[in-house]
Amino acid sequence: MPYADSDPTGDRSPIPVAIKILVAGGFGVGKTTLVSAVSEVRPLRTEEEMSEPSSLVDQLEGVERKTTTTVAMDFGRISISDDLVVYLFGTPGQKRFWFMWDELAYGALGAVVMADTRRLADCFPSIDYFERNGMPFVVAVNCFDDARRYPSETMRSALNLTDDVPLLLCDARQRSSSRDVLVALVEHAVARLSSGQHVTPAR
Amino acid sequence: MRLLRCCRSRASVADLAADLDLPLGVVRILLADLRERGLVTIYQPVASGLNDVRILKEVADALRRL
Repeated sequence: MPYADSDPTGDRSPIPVAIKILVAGGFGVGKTTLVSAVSEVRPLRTEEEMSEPSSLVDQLEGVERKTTTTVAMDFGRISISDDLVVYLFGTPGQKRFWFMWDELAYGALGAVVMADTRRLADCFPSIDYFERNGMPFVVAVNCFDDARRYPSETMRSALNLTDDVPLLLCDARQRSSSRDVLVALVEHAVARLSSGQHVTPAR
Repeated sequence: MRLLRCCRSRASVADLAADLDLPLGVVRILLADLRERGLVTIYQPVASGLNDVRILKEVADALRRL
């Protein structure tokens, strides 16, 4: 993530190491809840060029010349120290937003894919995406009060997850639970690194 | 200009966009213009952190303390 500053003669402290984590998943799965449970969350807008499928959804009558759409993300920041900052980006999971993911995924440590057992299929596109570009990810099943609980083996097979992808149950409203999901992701990335798989920018 | 004021200390482009409530792309273009006039300096982030087990363990430990 680039940094800007207007004082070329002043602060010479090292550029902080920025760790970028994506939080993906279907609409209403709890991305905002998770990001705000562990960090101060702010909306971050991005103007994106509209892709074909998106233009079918976004009504263009009267604004036919509009070729961009505004996508709002949940942007969270956890300052670990002066030289280490974790950034969280809650991103819409639908396939029609994939075009903005490539840029977001660039230089990211990994992703949390959030799932809701009542609408499991909503997270398929996110899982697909991260499997394709080889980014470390964990699946966090947000346990809604009124949702049925399933054994993790059942969910793994429903999601067609390989054994190396961690699957966790979480309550995104709980800070400790959301924190555990992030810790699991970082540990997963460390494990992959230790086994010789480098995290390469996805491009 | 508000953007320039926010750049007095080093800030990430995403932080600037969120602070100013402007789309990322707009902030990028404004920053590029400011850089052309020599008013801001753009730094690339340290990417090596992603492949540094020591840094990642530090991150995991810090998150556990949240």
